[in-house]
Formats: sequence, C-alpha cells, structure tokens
Amino acid sequence: MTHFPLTSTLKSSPGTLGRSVLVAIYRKPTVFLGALLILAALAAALFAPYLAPYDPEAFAVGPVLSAPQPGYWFGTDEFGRDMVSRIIWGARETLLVGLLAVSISLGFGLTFGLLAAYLGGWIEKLFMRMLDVLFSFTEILIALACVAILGPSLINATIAVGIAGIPVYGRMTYSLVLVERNKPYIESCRAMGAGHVRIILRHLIPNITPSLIVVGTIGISTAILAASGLSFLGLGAQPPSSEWGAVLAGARDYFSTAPWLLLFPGLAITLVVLGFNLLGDGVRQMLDPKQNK
Amino acid sequence: MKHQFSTSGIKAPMISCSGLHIGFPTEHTANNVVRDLSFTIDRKEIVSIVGESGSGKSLTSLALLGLLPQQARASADCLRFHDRDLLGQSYRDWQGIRGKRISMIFQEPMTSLNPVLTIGRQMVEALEWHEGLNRKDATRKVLDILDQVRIPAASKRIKQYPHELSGGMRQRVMIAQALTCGPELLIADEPTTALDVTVQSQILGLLEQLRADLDMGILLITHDMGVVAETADKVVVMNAGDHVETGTVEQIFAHPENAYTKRLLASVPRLGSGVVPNSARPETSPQKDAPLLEVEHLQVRFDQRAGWGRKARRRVHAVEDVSFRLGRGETLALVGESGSGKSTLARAILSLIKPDGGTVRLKGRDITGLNARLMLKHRRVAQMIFQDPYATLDPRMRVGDQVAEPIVLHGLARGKAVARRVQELFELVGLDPAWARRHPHEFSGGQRQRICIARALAVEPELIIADEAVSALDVTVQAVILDLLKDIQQKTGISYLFITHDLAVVEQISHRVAVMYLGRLVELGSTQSVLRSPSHRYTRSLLQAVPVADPTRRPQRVQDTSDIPSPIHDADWQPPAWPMRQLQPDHWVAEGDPLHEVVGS
Amino acid sequence: MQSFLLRRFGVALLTVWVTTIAVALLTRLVPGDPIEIMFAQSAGATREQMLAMQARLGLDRNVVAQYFLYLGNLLQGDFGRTIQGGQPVLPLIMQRLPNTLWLASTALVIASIAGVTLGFFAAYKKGTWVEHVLMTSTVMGISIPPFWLGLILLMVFGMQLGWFPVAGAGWHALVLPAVTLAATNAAIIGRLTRSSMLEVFEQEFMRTAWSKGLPKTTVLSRHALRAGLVPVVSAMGVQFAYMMGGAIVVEYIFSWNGMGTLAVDAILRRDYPLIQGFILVFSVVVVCISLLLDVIYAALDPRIRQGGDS
Repeated sequence: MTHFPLTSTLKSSPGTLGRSVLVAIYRKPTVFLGALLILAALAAALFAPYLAPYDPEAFAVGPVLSAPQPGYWFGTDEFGRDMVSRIIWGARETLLVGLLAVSISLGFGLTFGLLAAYLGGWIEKLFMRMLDVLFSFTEILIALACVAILGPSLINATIAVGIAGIPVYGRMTYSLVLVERNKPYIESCRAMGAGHVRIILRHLIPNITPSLIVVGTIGISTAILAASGLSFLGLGAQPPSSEWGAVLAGARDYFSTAPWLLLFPGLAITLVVLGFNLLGDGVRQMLDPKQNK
Repeated sequence: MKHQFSTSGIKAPMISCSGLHIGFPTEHTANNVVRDLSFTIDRKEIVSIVGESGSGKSLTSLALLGLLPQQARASADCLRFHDRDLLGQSYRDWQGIRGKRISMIFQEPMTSLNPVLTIGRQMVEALEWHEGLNRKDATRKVLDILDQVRIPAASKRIKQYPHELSGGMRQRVMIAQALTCGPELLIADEPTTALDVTVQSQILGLLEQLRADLDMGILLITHDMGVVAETADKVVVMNAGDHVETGTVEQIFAHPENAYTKRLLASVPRLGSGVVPNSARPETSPQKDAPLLEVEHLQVRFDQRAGWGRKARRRVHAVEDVSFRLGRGETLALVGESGSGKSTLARAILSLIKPDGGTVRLKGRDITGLNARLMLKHRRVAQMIFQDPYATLDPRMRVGDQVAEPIVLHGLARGKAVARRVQELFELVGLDPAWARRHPHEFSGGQRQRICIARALAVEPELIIADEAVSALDVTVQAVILDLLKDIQQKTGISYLFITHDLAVVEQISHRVAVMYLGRLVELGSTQSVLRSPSHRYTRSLLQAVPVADPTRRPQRVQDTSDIPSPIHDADWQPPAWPMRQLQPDHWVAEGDPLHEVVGS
Repeated sequence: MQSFLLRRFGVALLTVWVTTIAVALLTRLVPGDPIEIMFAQSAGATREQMLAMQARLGLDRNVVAQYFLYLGNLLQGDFGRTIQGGQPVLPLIMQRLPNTLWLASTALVIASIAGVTLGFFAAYKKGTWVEHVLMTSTVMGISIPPFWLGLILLMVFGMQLGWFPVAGAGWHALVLPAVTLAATNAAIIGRLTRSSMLEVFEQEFMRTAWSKGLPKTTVLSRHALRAGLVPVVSAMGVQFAYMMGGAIVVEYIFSWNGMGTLAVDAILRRDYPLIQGFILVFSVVVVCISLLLDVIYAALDPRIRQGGDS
C-alpha cells in the first residue's frame, strides 16, 4: 500500500522534478532531513567495507552481550558480533532489497497499467477485474504466498514484496495514464496526425514520469518495511545475515537482558524509511497542484 | 430580533463602501488586488460590478459577506450594511447577517450545492437556524419558495440530490435557497456564466422579477456586458483591481468616460447592431463551386449500457443526419448550446470519433472509416484548434518543438528548414520567434491560442476546425484573436468551420451559419439571412435569448421554464426524418422540431 | 445502489473462486518436489506416507483433475490435514480465527477514530503549528516498523511499567497488540482524512454553507465532515485487509493465539495443507468484511446509492 495516494497527476512543467527536489530540500527542513538520512544510508551501503570496524558476521570480535561502550558503540550480540558493523553492512542489504522490490513492482506495474489504460477494450476490462481480485488478496497475503512457494530467503522475500506491489503500481499508472490520456493535448496530437507510439513515448510517458518517480521513492520505504517484516518473522533473510529485520529477529530473545540489540536495528529501519517518506512526500507536496495554490 | 433602531428619517444606502482595498499581504508588500473601490447599493436596486478575469470583482463580493480567503486582508474607509460596520465582525456577528439579511449565489450551481445532502435538507437548515422553525414548517416554506422560482414538482425535488437536476434547475434551487430567509441583499457572482443562453435568459428574468416582488437589492458580478445592459441599474467597472468608473447603466453604455470602459465596450461583439467593431464583415469572397468539405447524412450515436456486457438500453443521438458543404476560403459557423452535438460533429469530421453513418468528403475524397495511416495524408488538409489552449499544449514540451512536431510528422521539412518554418509561423501569428524555446506555462491565454493557431497552420492546411476557440478568452483578447483569424484567411484563402455558442461572434467572422439543436441542423444559410430573418422556432428563441449590450433595447422576457430536451432516447427509438426546406437561394430550414416530438411521444 | 453492490458481490465471488484455483495449484508452483520439501523436516516420514500425501493433494494427476479434487474436498468442508500431527486444517484455523478478528477489528476502530480526529484537525488548523505537529506524527507513524513498535511497547509498558500483560488472552492483553496494529493505519487514515477534508474545505459548496450563517459546528459536521468522510469510508475495506495482514506480525510478537502465528509456523515448516487453508480462510474473511463495508459506503454517498456510478 502506498501511504500517499496520488489523486491527480502531479504538475508537470518542464524540469520541475529536479528543480522541485532541490527547492524542497532547500526550503523545508523536513525534506532536508529526509535527504540527509538517505545520503547517510547510501554512504553506509556503498562504503561499508571501509566504514565498518569489524567483519559483521565474525564471532567474538568483542565481549558477548556487551552494552554500548567505547569501541563497541552499539554494543555486541550473543555471539560477540559488533552491532555497529552489522548495522552498517545491513544498510547495503536493506537498501538493495527496497530498490529491487520497487523495480519489480514498478516495471511490471507500469507496463500493465500503461497498456490497459491506453489500449482500452477487453484488455482494460481484464486488467481491471484482475486488479479487483488482487486488491482483495492484499499485498501481505500475496507476499506470504510467494514466500510459501519459493521458500524463505532474502532474495525470495524481495521477489515476493516486488510481486505483491505490482497491482499497486499497476493501478497507479493506469489512473495516471487515464487522466493524462483524456487531456485535450493528447487529442490535439491525434488531430495533428501523431500515431500511438509517438503519443505514448513523446507525450504520455514524459508527463507521468515525475509522478511515478515520486510514488516510487515513497514506495521504497513501503518495500523496506515489508521485506524487513518478513525477515523479522524468519521468512526472509536468514542468520547470519545482517539485514536489519533479521538482526531484530535475533534480538527478540534478549529484549529483557540486552535491549540495545533491539534499539539500534529498529532505529536504523525507522530512519531510512523516514528518509524516503520525507523526501518523497515533500517533493509530492511541491508538485501537487491541489496542495499548493 | 429587531435590527432597525434608528435611521428612520435619514435615508442611508443599504450598502455603503468607500476606499475598499483587498490584498494578499506578504512580509514586504500589501499585494492589493482590489484598490480604492467605492460604491453604494440601495434596496430594489441592481448594481453590477463588471470586469474581465483578474479584475477583483469576485473578491469584492466575498468581502461583503466576510468570506474572503484566510490569507486575504480587507481594509476600507467605510464598509457598512445599514449602520453596521462589516469590517472586523466576529463569527457570531456575521451569523446575524449571512443567509438572513445578505445571501449569495455562485457561478457553478453543481459544485455550490452539497452533493451528499438532499435539496430539501440544504434548504431548510437556514430557516431552522435563523427563524427557529421546526422541520415541518420550514419544509412548507421551502416548497412555497421553490414554487416562486418556478420549480415544477417541488415536493419531489426536495427529496432529490443535486446531481439529479439539470443545470438551470440547480441554479433555481440555489436562488431559492438564498431567498429562504427573505434577505435584503442578494449577491450573485456570475450566476449565469455556466449556463446556456436560453437558460441564462430565464434566470436573469427571474432575478429581475424577484427584485420587484421581494423588495430586495441585487449585486450582480459579471464579465458579460450584455448581461449588464439587460439587467443592471448601476454599473461599477473594474480593471485589474482598479476602480475604473461608476455610473447608471445608460451613462456607461452611451457615454463611457474612461479609456478602458470604452475599449471594453468596443470589444463586445454586438449581435445585429450593424456596428461591427474593429473590422468590417468578412471580405473574402468564397468560391462556391468547389466544395472543400462535404458532409452528408453524418450520424454519431453513443450507447449507454447498464452494466458490463449488457445490451444498450438508452442511446445518445449526438449527431443525427447532418449534411452541409463548406467552400474554399469560406467560414461556416456552427452554432448550438451545450449538448447540441456540435463538438461531436467536429470530431467526427476529423475521424477522432468514428461516425455511425454518413460520409465526409474532403476535396472530393471520402475519408470516413480510413485507418490511421491513410488518414495521415488527409490530416494535412484539415487541422483543429480547441477551446482551452493551455490544455491542448503539452506542458513539458517547448512551444517551438510543438509547432515543429506536425512539420516533422508530415515530412514537410528537415533539419534547419524546420526551425525556419517555425520562425515564419511565429511571425505569422504575431509572436516573437525567440519565444519558441519557452514552455506553455510562460504565456498568457491569448498568446497560447496564437501558438495553437501556429501549430495548426504548420502543415499548410486548407481547412481549420475551430472548436470554441475564443470562448475561454476575455472579450478584449477574443476580438484580437478573431482579427488574426480573419487576417490569415485573407492571406492564405483558408476555410474555417467555426464552432461556437456565441451568436455575436458568429456575425463577426462567418459567411454562413448552421444552427444545431439536439444533434440536428435546424437552420442553414448566409449569416445575414439567418440572423436577420430566422425561420426555425429554435433559432428565434436562441436569438431572443442573447443578451444585447445596449440598455435601451431591453427585451420583453417570456417566462419560460423549459429545459432543453434531451438527445437521449430508448435504444429502439427511430429518429424521424427532418427534410430541409429551401427558403431562399442560400437559406434552408428544417421541417421539424423536437419539442413537438417530445409532446408527441 | 443495487448495481454497485451487485458488482461488488460479483467481484467478491470472482475473488473467492480465483483464490481456490491459486490455492489448489500452489503446490505445483513450488520449485523442486513439493512432497520432499514438505517432509524434509519430519524425519520419520515413510515412503507410503509421502505417496499417500501425493495422492491426497492430487499431485499425481493433471492440473484440472487436481483442481476439481481439491474443490470437491473443500465443498465437503475438508481442507486437508496438517503434515505434522495430521490434524484437520479447518477446525485448527477456525479455532484461532476469532482471536485474529477480534484483534483486527479492535485495531480498526482505534485507527479510524484516532485517524479521522487527527486528520480533521490537521486540515481545520491548516498552516498552524497544530497541523505541523499532527502531520509530523503521521510521517513517524508510517515510518516506524510495526514489529519494532510492538517490541518497544512490550518492553516499556509490559516489562518496565508492568501495566499490561506481556502475553495471554482477554481485553487487558488486547490493548498493546491492538495499539501496535492501529498505529500505522491511524497515520494512514489521518493523512487520507486530512487531504480529503482539505479538498472539501476548498469546495464551493462549503462557501455556500458558510454564507448561510449557520453555527460553525453545524457547517463542519453536517457539510464538511460528511462529504469528507466518503473517500475515507470507501478505503475502509482495504484498511481492514491491512489490519488482517498486519495482525500476523503483531500476533507473533505478543504471542497472541491467532491464525497469524499458525500461518508463520506453517510457512516455516512448509506445511502446505495448512498454508492453503490459511490463504483461503484469510481471503474469504477479507472479502466478506469488504462487502459489508461497501454497504456502509453506498449508504453514505447518494451518487453511488442511486446506481449512478461513473
């Protein structure tokens, strides 16, 4: 589920998206914070080997179940693994999972939604009925069914979350294209003699792209939450992975004796998700013709 | 509650306003959008504030009810309703005035009524609150008022929701709702702009009559000088926030003093006044012998289905058996009200909608049912301009590229030649070629329509179909664009099929007129002949309804509450044949009238 | 109204039917031999047991025959038996279902009341610090992973303060799981309500309502709230479905004896008959509740009620 449903196509003046991102970051402290959080997570993911003090999966690099202390700022777990290193390496898996899942959802959703809305006829009707059915299934059930079929692992959980998101992005694209297709400028293109391919590639896609990018940005946060949720249940990343949901699952057994194990991975997920939400929502507000008049 | 304590001897105006400023202040500037406005309104008086878009007239009306947007600030030397200062009143103070002593109706009756409450519920609530009536008494009073605004079957209507009524009916409900507590002043903000002329005429007649019956003042906000001339006693002219001129309606129309008022009046197309502003009647003489476009028995119908895969139960007869010809260098105006099928006809001619029957011949070649590839060749011949120029331009593409697109698409030029051609076109429509690199949002409405015209001209078409191409523009801009179109016709010998609802525009630009009604042509002939001696009942009522921008020629209104009949019929309905009878060498009239058919069935 | 509800009913039937197909063929989609995967974790399985299960699931027949075998069993109320323990699936699930429904609907009520209140005030106080605080809290609400929030609440209110039991049944034990489950959705409903209310406040009929001189509360409740709640109510079915889904994680954290915990175990143990039963029951429940909520929605919006769906 996207937490920020788009009710109309975002304002699409040329170059608006890039400029709006910058303007939003500059003007709104919340968006600035969001961008900062994402940058921090990206840096951790890219430079994990250089930033992490220890091997995230190496046992007994420090004392067992030690509270945060100099040298082990986030404490250590039951195997004496350094939590700072695990969180830094975990950023890599967490971000990758989010990006990959959204790419799957967006790729298929865009194709289906675009074709259904533009071609119309029985394809559109079939698509709409399929969406109705899939929406009553709910994303969670679809994801669980996929994991049940494929078996628990991080990559399977990612695929499952990606597949579960296809109807959401499909419907989003569909309604965006529908709004856009009925605008007079598309009719004037037809009157001019432009063909379908030209209209789709030169006019439709450029005009819905900003909306889709914003939706996709926010979607990354939803995907991260869903995938880490599966890992937390033991249906995604398996030990000794340092994916944050899996780390949290391991910490669950020690939550009365070593609460710091619980604190840091949860905080890491929250902050990254918050980053994508703040950035996406801030840019959406700048571009939404209904929100700022 | 009694409100009149004093003022028995002195005759103060009901509303006195002087030095009114309204602005959207920021930290640095006041940003006034209404500056130094003064006027008064008395009982039984119709005062009109007239101005083009952005003149500040609507904000002024909202200020009188304390309904300005939150960010707006109003200040005035004096803004009084009788002896009450309207500035700085609390919500509770306003409650004693709003809906009770001053009420308001708005432009768009559909959106101005709450969609999830019944008509009755919305109408009784003011009575319940202000007069303390119980539901039963309030309902009885509401029924009386609905009767007064001539709503048939009122007891049925109050159980209905707004979306179940027609546009004219909704505006009557709005008026009735405003009248429930017997206000002293009614503010009407563009009350007829969203309505068809024949319905507009009914609503204006109703307002005039209510003023007389109910001893009530009316503040009429409008952009339409015709409406002003027909209804107002006093006129306040505004331009871009400035108070331009005030006077009686006769003064303003006969002896305007301010330059803007003069220009505004000169731009107003006047039907049949004999004085056509800015330029003379169309000069190009069309060659009648070689028809560029021949439309024969064209038919477009839309099925309304009850559900998925079910059989059509009802059918919209959007275009029914329409035939006409259009010669080279000629302008044919296609006139009709909303729902008459005129836009559908235009789209069917250009194969944007598939016709259900009949033929369209362009330069003698039948183009109905051609596929996209074969149609491409013919699209060079006929191009289209639409009503809203902003919406018809791709917001993300440079305007130069958009004008170039048809040139490239039809292979008319390559490389540098394209840019040269775009430059020529920009100059032809009076735009600076340097602006080609800009995007649509950087232009004004009139400039955007010029861009659309340039794009349509890019393929050197022989016919342009203009669908309400000037309706969305302010009158002063409208006059300029019409001149441009005529100018282009003289230079290139192009033909126009000019679709409009505005009969006054027709007279300025077209050689011949076709009147459309419920999907049919009811009258066709030379502009002169049709407008001077209309023969069909509908043409006559249409001409009668058009407001005349001349206060000395106020019409005698016939009180009529009929809506336009619907073009929707049962699926098995067969349209009767309507032969066209020739009256003169160039004047035909249909022998049939849907009014009679409705009665007949 | 009839045509709207008939259509919704049609979709509901279609959904249930498609679910039966998907569920019946689930085992076919498993990469590798599903029987071997299923019995991989139960060490003492014999060759006979495996063959019996293969026949039971219809995996030795073609796809169509397998589907009708499964459908026939379903219609007789036979949802199969679990791999481990060999218990009948349906009673096992039905025994847990009320707990899950109880949790999800309590959470939905909490989320709706909190969300609508929050969204309404955020819209009404647009541009003030009230809106900023409320909106910031909703962004936090949708960013906190529910499983983490649950663990924190458990630690603080369960362990440290000892206000609520850490696990168990009954209303006292219901508070923490329901609040955890409601948090995210309260934020979502709050955002939805706010944007819907903002749109309503901008509508021209609101200007008409203000111009009548009615008391503020009347204008806000009768005109604004009623129109503004239409899209919120229409999204309620989806919200409930998410509650049901979210319940799986929350039950796991709070050891709540619902069907979610059962499902997670089943997936981990690859107990396919149980997984199949769970998916089927889950989607039937969601479909039924959505249908119920559609009736409420139709009653609220006259444009739908009169069959004029556009």
